[in-house]
Order: sequence, then C-alpha cells, then structure tokens
Amino acid sequence: MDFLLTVLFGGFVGLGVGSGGLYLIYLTLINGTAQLTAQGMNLYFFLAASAGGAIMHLWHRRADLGAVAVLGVAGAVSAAGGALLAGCIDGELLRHIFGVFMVISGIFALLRK
Amino acid sequence: MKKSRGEKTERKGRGRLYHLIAPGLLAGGINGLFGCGGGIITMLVLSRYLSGDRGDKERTRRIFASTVLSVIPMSLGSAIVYGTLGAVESEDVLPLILPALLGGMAGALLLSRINTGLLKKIFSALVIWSGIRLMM
Repeated sequence: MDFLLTVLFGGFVGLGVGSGGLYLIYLTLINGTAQLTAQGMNLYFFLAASAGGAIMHLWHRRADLGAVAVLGVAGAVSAAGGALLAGCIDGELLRHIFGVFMVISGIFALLRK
Repeated sequence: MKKSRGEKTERKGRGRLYHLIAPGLLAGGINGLFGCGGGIITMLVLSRYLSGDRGDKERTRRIFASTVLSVIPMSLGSAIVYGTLGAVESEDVLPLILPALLGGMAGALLLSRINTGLLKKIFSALVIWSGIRLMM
C-alpha cells in the first residue's frame, strides 16, 4: 500500500500538483512520522520523483539554464543552512511552524491564477 | 516609445541574473527548514522573470521545467544535511526511491495530457486543511 501511495504522490510531483508537500503531509499526519524525519524523507522522495522529469526537461531544452544555475546554487547554499536550523528546533515546534507555512502557501496557491 | 502594461520584453544581459540570487537564497532556506516549499517561491520568481504572454503554453512549461531543475540542487543540499544530522536513515529512504521514481516519470509523461488546474485547487485546499491540523 505504501508503495502504491508513494507512486501516486510521485505522480503528483511529475504533474506539478502539490509537489513534495503532499507526501510530507501524508508522512506526518497519516503515517505518524516524526516531523524532522518526514522532512528528510520528503527531500529524498522529491529528488527521486523529479529525476525522470528533470531528464526530460533537459532533453527537450525547456528550462532557462542561466536562471536555474543562479537559483540552484544560491538555493543549495541556503538550503544547507535551513536544514541545520531545522535540526536545532524542537520537533513539535517545527511541526507547528510548518503547519503555519502550509496554510499560507495553500491559500496563496488557491488564490493564484 | 513606452511599452504598455501588457507588453513585456524578456530582459537581456547579465544584470537580470543578479535579481535571482536573493529569491534563490530565500527558496533554499525554506526548502531546508521545512523539507519542501522552495518550489513555490521559485515558481513565483520565475513567473515574473520569464516574461511573455500569460497564456503562452510554452512559457508555462519553461517556468515549470526551470522550477523543477532549480529546486533539485536545493533539495540535494538539504537532503545531505538531514542525512548528516541523522534525521533520516537509509532504511527510511531506500523503500521510497523506486516508487517515487516510477510515479514521477508517469506524472511527467502525463503532464501534457491532463488539465491540472482543478487538481491544483483541490490540493491547495487539502494543504490548507493539513496545515491547520498540524498547527493544533
């Protein structure tokens, strides 16, 4: 069952619907996984789920590689910092902060055209 | 002649790339802190950065492709730190690699055949509900 659900969530990543956030929500709310562990698993999940699509995008030359390079490098550096910060925050507090972030991003996504 | 609001031209030259550093830092920071979310900011930024007719299907694909490729190094940077911190073990990660890969490839192949607009609205509502649950 977990295998099939993960395939389904992977499909959503490929479709660009809800991306990795949905899988993270599944891990925390349904599977009862600890927040920090779920976040880590979600990252590896996203890397695997987006790999095939990324190859296709590169093959078809769909992306603006200059923008990707700048965003990617800047993002990778700060991502490491963000991850270190997450490791310092209490699990329950992190879960609540994450909840706030989900509400804000969900509202934003809903209102976006 | 001053361009009207509806007319946008793609900015050229090195200068525009500097505009992406701060948003990249923000997106990456969020990605690392929450294990997701970098894509939302990245897509927002790229929607403004990659100008063109709003209804342009090609532009939408370009934004999506650029977002996915940008978030991958962010997620990689985060994932390495999470692994180093011991937040995830290999037995947590290995079982999800194959199904995630299969699902992602299927979704990417179906992308041009499915109208994802309604799906996105449903999942946005689900994300809001989940966020409220997580806050409690």
